[in-house]
Amino acid sequence: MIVRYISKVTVAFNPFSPRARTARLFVSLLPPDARMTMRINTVVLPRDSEEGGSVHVVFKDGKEVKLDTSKMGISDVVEECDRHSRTLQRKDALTG
Amino acid sequence: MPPRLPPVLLRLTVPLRPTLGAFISRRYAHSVAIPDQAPIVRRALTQPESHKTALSRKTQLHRSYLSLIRSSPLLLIFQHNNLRAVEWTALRRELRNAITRFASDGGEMAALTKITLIRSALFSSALRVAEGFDKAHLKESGLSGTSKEAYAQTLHLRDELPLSTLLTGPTATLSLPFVSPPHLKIVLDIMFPAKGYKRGIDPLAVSGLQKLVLLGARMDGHVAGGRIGEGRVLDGQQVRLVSGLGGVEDMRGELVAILQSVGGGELTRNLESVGLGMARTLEGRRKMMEEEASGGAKAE
Repeated sequence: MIVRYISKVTVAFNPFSPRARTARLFVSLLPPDARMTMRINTVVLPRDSEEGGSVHVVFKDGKEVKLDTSKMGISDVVEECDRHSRTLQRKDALTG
Repeated sequence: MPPRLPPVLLRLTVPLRPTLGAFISRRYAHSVAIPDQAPIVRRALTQPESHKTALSRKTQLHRSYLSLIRSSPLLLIFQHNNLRAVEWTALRRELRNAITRFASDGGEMAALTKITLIRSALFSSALRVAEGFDKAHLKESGLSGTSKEAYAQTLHLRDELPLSTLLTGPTATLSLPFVSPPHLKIVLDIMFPAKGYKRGIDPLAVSGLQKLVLLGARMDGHVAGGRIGEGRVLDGQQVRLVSGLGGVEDMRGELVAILQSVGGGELTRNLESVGLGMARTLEGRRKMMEEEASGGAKAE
């Protein structure tokens, strides 16, 4: 996953729901030094919450991606985030 | 001209056709009684019976997880996200120091409070055995927790146990040797602070604890409540609630104080009177027997 262009991540999940798996895996994909370059918020929802999990990513250019990960796999979420990161990467490469 | 045969055949002494002597020397297979033999042992006698190979890492881990679950009254389960080795070391050191500072017997408590990084699927399998196999008292039948029977009999719990949903991704457990709210509070303040981390803590430990997420806990009850072996599942908020309670002694004192303040003096006196009455009766009986004994001595 490309994390260079992410400035803020908010992940919420209810650990007692089997649908929280994707959101939890997303947090574990962030590298060990990620907290130096971005703000990471992890919200643990109460046990009886209906929501399984959600991921909210803010990029450095201000674009926001909000995903309900209850019915998504981890590769889908990574793909969604990388799509915008790649355009930013290309822009970076062109401007030098 | 000599016959054109290879020299080996020329030197043959055994006739090519069977002779009468060859028929006589023949032996045929016949049944012989073999003494009863013990079945072949596939594992060392010191190893309990196991589903997979006794020496495999999975079996050893399963056994250590099972013993961890059976022996810890309070087990916190949390997620760890890419911590570095130095961060783990700093966190463990801070935890040990905080517990040791708290009480006089803190050294022992600190040694028994342990962080274990687990393999989630294996741990979940061990948890099924602890919840299903142990509670059905099958442990007393001599079968081990790693046996094929234990696996088969607890397989149906796979989707039923509430803790099994917590056990995905990178997880770890923190085990405490007994349920004590003050100790739990110290652990939570260091590892999972609700509002900002403690001052004066190692910066490496701070960067480590930012990557931890408390998921839930398994509590096996307290001796005082007579609820050992219950295996109650708590979520993060409930764990914090428990940590806010006082110790058992404090709560007993509070209860007595409340009873006395609302006119429960009568009640406490009544509860005491059973013991008092018994003590008085026994004392009276003892005196009577002493008198009888002394009376007998006089008669002699």
